[in-house]
Amino acid sequence: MRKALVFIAKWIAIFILASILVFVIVRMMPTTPVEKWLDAYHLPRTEENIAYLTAKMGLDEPLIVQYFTWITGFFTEDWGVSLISGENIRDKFLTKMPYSFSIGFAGIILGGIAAFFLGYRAALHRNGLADRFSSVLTVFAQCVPQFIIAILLIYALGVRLKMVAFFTGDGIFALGAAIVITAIYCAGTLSRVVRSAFREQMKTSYVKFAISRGFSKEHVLRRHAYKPVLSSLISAMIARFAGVFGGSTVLEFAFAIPGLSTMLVNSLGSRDYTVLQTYILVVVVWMFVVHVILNVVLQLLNARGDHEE
Amino acid sequence: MKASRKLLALALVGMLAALALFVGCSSSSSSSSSTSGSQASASGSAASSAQADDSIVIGCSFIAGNLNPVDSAWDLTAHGISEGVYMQDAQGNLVSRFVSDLTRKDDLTWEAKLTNQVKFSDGTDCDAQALAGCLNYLQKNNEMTNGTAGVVTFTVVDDDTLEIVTTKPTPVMQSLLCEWCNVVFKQDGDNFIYTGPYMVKELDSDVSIALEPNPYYDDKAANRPNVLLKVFKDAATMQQAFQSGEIDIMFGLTPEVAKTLEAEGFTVKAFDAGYQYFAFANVASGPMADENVRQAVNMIINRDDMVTALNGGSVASGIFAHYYSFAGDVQEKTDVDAAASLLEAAGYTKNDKGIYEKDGQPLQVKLTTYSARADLPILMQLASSELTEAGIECSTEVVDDINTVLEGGAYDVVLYAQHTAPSGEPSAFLNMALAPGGSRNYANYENSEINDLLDQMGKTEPGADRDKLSKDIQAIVAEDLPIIYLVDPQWHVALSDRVSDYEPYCGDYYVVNAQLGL
Repeated sequence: MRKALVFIAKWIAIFILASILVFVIVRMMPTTPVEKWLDAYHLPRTEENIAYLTAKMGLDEPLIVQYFTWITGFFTEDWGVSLISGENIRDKFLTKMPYSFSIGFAGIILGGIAAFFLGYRAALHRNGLADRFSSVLTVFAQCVPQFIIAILLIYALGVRLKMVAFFTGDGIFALGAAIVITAIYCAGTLSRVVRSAFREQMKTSYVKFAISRGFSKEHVLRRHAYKPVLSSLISAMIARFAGVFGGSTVLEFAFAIPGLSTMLVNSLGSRDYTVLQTYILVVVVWMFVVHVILNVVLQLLNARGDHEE
Repeated sequence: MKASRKLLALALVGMLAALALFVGCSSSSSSSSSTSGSQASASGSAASSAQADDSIVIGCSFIAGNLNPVDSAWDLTAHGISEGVYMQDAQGNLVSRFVSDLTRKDDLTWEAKLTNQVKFSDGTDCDAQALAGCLNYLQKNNEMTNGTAGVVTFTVVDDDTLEIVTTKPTPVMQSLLCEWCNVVFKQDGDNFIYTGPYMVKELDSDVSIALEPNPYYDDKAANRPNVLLKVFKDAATMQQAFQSGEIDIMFGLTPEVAKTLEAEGFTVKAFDAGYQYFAFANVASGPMADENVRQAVNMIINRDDMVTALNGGSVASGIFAHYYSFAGDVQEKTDVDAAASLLEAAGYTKNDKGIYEKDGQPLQVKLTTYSARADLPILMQLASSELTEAGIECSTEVVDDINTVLEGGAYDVVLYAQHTAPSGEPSAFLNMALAPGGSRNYANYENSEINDLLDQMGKTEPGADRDKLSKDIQAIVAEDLPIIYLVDPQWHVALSDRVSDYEPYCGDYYVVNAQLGL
């Protein structure tokens, strides 16, 4: 109970600190949204124009008032409006979120599943086919940028073979391709984590003892050693979940998917303070949720592991 | 392993839930985002419906965020949805479907005779009352409309006549009514209805906007196909979409991409951008404060090379596009020998390394530009290599926010791009760039002769006399060089076979014009 309270208190502190930091940092960026707006429409930065737009965007209020208006609105589901387009930010997020969430979440989960089985096979046979494939996949993910694969895929299937319409229609091909690429890029590194964890387990006395009793290596690892390995895999996946919202910029650009990343880049370009602030807070809340869920899963795994051992 | 399977099953269920969430949210969100105007319907995805009805698909880098004329007038006009009271035709003339005659009654009062032949896209008449109502609304709700002549009041005199009263005198009422913020619209509750050749079928903010012909625009409406404007944030992606046949029109081609697509057999057209590529010289401080150095730099730059590198356009003859009657008629020539004489006259001599120096200090010029206009860094590199070859030590910089650099004054030469006559008249830009206190007169340049000519221009009605004043000012600028003219550019557009006859004009302002698809 005490642990849970400390956990929640820690996240409340992170939330408050992050909200203040992001509020201050976005305002320290060179060029204001007012100036960006005037530049975009080739209008002069006259005092009158700046004063008019500053008032229109609500940036003439004292900073403390702006902060509390924003932060209280965030909790009451009134996330305000975009300084540039005037659109409701919450609606905008709900429109964009499914794209980024699908790419990030489904990609990581698929990658994790693939990594588990690939890592398992790699651990069984050192320098075997699976082990080598896992190594190649890891190096490939670290050396070849995602956008090159995306471009090659579009070029082959869309431009040359004209088999797939990535950019028109319901966009399901673009989304599917982005999920698969994300999964492939996750699977390489995660499979090495799984492999190492299984190899560690193979050194433990209970595994050695079971094998010496005549059980096959596959049987022992599959039936008894998977829980600590899953714990390692989930721990490695937690960090990747931070990128679920906005971490797929390259793929969203390459496949013209209108996700949060595209919105984030646009908002950075136009210095849309309210969108940027809200985005960071949403990521903080999301990471809190991820930590809660995955910590519970880890606790369950550890509890069962202890019990079985 | 049983527990492991359970976990895997849980993960798979989670993944499916994520996909289900996607499908659910995307359909609900597209409904919510597509109801922002009465012209917009509220179902499905714009892109998928467009594919179904064989729309012309246009790849672009932005679309209107909403249908409100206060926020999105420029974009809505660019999409062919709204119209200004006056618009530019392909030759740069100001034309109006709303006003047949505009007469100045006194310094502050004008009379507009209306054609009364325009209908909104819902079929209602755009009469004097509607016209005055929307223009007064914009005067009240968008201060940008007050820039040229203060607050302007539109009053209905009779069914065919509007009285227009300005707060400050202006001789260019047509241009004022051509400014991007003065669009004609009708408000119906929270919805906005326009008069352009197209009306919104579906708006998916930041993603795509589906248009259908406005049946009341003219008698050719039935021949116009539907149009889909789809946003691409990455030029390479847009190029692939064009090559794969998924889009029909691709704007914003770089010279290299234009050449590539041309070589692949696609139709690529160059069209007058309206924008001008020029350079602000810092006449207040640094090496460019010396008139001889400015003249030398101006003579060293080879504009023909720039035109070749951009694969289109022409050497600038002033600060306005060549098709305007008020465009300059300056003839810029490259003359490296004359430039050397000027530098020597200014006290510079070449050192052992072939660099000009004075009092032991090398002649260093810093060129600065920004990446948002892809052509400018190309021009900057060309200018840099030519200046270096001629003996001027040259450094280059590409920045994100060029206006802050200009306002800060820490520059020698800034390469810049701007549509210098978006409302079809010259005085707005000339005043901004050359008059004392002008918002684009970054180096506080002042020339009494130019000031006099600008004053005269402020009192002269459009016509030959006003055009001559504009040309005279541009000739003085070419001598004094607070601004260095570079290129009157053409931009490139790639067109699929079904729209290969389309002729866009006026840069990125009229992306969709009434001729599309006819």
